[in-house]
Parts: sequence; C-alpha cells; structure tokens
Amino acid sequence: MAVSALIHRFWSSSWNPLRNNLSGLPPHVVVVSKAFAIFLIIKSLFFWSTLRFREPYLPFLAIFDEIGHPVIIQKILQVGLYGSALGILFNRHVKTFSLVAGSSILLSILSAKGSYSNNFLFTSFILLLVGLQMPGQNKSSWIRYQFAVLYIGAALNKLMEPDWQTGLFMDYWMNKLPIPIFQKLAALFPPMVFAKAMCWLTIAAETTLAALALSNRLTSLFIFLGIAFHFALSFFTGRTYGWFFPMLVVSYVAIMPWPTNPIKVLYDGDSPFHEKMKSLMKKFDVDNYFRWTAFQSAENRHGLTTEQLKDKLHVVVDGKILAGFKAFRTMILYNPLSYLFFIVLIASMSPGAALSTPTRILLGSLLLFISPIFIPVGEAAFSFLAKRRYKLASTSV
Amino acid sequence: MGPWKHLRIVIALAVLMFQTGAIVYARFHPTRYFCSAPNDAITNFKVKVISEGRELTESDIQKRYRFFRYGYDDRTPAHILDIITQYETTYGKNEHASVEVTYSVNGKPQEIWQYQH
Repeated sequence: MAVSALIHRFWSSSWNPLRNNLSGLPPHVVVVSKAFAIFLIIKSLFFWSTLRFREPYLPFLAIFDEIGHPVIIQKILQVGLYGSALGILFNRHVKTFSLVAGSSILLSILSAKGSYSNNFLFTSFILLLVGLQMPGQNKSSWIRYQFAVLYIGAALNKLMEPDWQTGLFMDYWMNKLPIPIFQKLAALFPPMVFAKAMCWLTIAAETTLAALALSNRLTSLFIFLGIAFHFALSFFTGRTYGWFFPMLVVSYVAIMPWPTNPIKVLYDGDSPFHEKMKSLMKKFDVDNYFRWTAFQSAENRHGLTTEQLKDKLHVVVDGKILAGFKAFRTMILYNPLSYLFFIVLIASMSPGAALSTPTRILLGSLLLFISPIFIPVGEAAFSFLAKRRYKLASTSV
Repeated sequence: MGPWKHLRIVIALAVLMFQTGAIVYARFHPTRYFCSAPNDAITNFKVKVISEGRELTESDIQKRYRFFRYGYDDRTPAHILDIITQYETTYGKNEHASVEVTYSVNGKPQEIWQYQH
C-alpha cells in the first residue's frame, strides 16, 4: 500500500516526467526539450552511444586553447549536458536547462572542430530557441525561423553545387550507401536521369519548405510536407542522421497550432465501448488536456444531433468539431505523450546509425496515419468498430 | 518589456543571423560550417604525413588530427583540409611536417592536396 501511495504521489507531482504543462512553456514546445532529454538518456544508458563531447582541440575560437585544462572543460560541458537533461526530464526550470543544454553542445562544437556536425548543431540551436521562447506565446516563432534558415541553407548549398545540378552526387550516393529502391528505379531510365531528377526534387522540396516555413497561414501544410519529406528520406536511406531526424520531427510539433482551450470530447455515455475508450485515453492524458463529457449530460452539444453523437465520438478543438477517426487522430496528435513515445521508440528501436526494419515500418505507418489519404480507411475502420461497439465491449471484458 | 525579454530577443536573433551570415559566407569560402549544409558531398580521403623524416602511422595521425588516416566524410574535402591546416599552423608549426591528402569527391577522379611548411 505504501509503495502504491508513493507511486500515486509521484505520478501527480511536478516531478512526473510525463507531465508537460508545468514550466510556463506550451506543452508542445516542452516536448522538444523532453525529446532531447529522453533521447540522450536512452542512448547513454542502453546503447552507450551519445553526444560525443570531445575535449577542446583545434577549436573554432582560439580562446578554448587558453582557458583551463581541456579535460576539465570537457567534463564541465558534459555535466552541463546531462544535468540539464535530468532537469528538463523532471520539469525543473525547463527553459533555463534548455539554454544550458543548448549552450553546452554549442560550446563543445566551438571548442573542437572535430566535434562539428550539423545534427549536433541543429540540436543545440533548437534547445537554445526553446529556452528563449517568449512568455505567453502559444507556439515557437523562433523555431519556425530556424526551419526557414535551415532549409534556405540546405537548398542554396545544393543549388550551387555542380554535382547536385548534374545528379552526380545522388548517383554516387545511392550506389555507395546503397539505396536499393533508388538503384532499381534508376535502372528504368537512361543513365543519370533518375539521379538528376532526385537532386532537383530535393532542391525543390527544400526551397518549398523554406518558403512555407515563413508562412503562418500554411503551417499545417508545412508540417505535413516537412515530416513527409524527412520520414521518406530516413525510410529510403535507412538513416536517422544522428540527432537530426528525431529532433527535427519534434521541432515541427513546436510550431503546430496548439489548442488554447482544453479539448472537449463528447462521447456516448450509454456505450460501454466509449466508456472503455475513455478510461484508456485518460490514462495517457496525464496533464488533463481532454475533458470527456457524456453527450447525454452535456450542457453544450455544439449543434450536434443525438443521432450524430450516438453514431460517432466527437471532439471540439477551439470551436472546430471533428468526428470518428479524425477525432481519435486529434486526440493522439494533441497529446504531448504521443511524441515522447515516438522518441522512445526511435531511440530504442535503432541502436546504431542505421534504421532497423521495425523502425522503418513504424515510420511508414506513422506517415500513413497523419496522411490525408488515410482518412477514408481510418473512417471505415471506425465505422466498423462503431457498429459493433456494444458487442465488442461485452466480449473484450 | 523587461531587460531579460529584450536580451532573449537579441540572443535568438543572433542565433538566426549568425546562421544566415554563415550561409552567405559559404558562397565565398569552400568550408561549410554553420550553414545547414549536411550530406551535400561525399569525400573519400587518405592522409599521409611526414614529420621529422618519418611517415606517421594510423594512430599518430588519429592522435594528431582526431580523425582516421583514411575514410570518408559526408562533407566537402575543405573541412579535412581546414583541420589539417589549423593543426600545422598552430599546435604543429614547429614540427615542419609535410602533409599530402589524396581525395575524391562524389566518385570523381582523385585530387592531391599538399601542405608544406
């Protein structure tokens, strides 16, 4: 009993790592720092492969050759990194520790050219920008601008490289990695045609993403295209590019339009299936973002008829009503734990640099889940379940 | 708006402007640091160093530059050459070593880069 009480006390305390609404930052921005902490801790504890902080050596800034002993500087930066990760994980001064973690990585890079890598640098900048988030902002504008800079830099560099213009880079890359699907497709065309098309497609995609990143109105399109682009890249090449892929995906979450009010869920209080779904979903709703109301006792039915409410589960997000599969998907997408769970899977399913087959399947499935083309399939599955919900509920007890 | 809020804006803008500057700088310099240019070239390379009349071994070179004597890098060769140049002009300037890097970018014919004190 004492252990159970202790767990319950911890679960409801501010130390619970699954809680994301305690720092004054919006939960979907906190998720970025939490993802960093989880990724670092899982990789360090279970796979012994983590951010390789080298001691200062051949630095970008000569000052690192003059201040203190290199090993001491290296240790200080490591303590800063791991200490911040633990602070962020347990909801202690998330903004401050995001700044410390980002600075530790940046200083490590600046102190040793051998430490330079684009994915560490991106992680560092993202953590700094989370720490610099303005109070009261619902989403991170800084991260949006970081995306614009990232894609402008990537597109411009490729555009100016002759080997990208001719397709030579892609031709060499897909044979060196290798990327079997690309090799098979390339064989269907005259030499270099496929490689050149892929190079220009990449440049076009990154240019488009840079432009979309700057548009507030097209945020949803930007997020979908960006995630699709990077999921596809990781899926086909079988690589996560170190910290880049996981940090990038959660950074997209930080610029999502996030609900300003709790999400209302209208369900059928007479349906045992809905009741079961409610108790299951509530277990994953640690911060109480979703307010479940049986429509029979709802004061406001938002213009929905009894038939509609009996037929499908509905959610109301800042006045927008979604039903069935879309409602379910909304509950998944607006729960910060979904993204932390994603990071746990990515960190643990692919121990090395290469993506394992289960991770590739996971990525493909997730992309399908968020894709508009999956909505009819999801709706059909939900209608099937809804029609059998009384039977299902009685047999699954 | 308090001073900390102002500072926050200044630092965030500095982070973004620094990268923008690096993107522009990369147009005039072969290295691609801080400018979001990952995996834009594949460089196969091999390094040979002669110091005090002796050719350095694999572990000597690893210790000297903190990268392996040969391998591949997902960036332009300028980064490898930059690290070697920095070592030879700072930590190793009194060793008077001669360095030769044989490299190939994206499978193109090999090129040779030399550093002589």
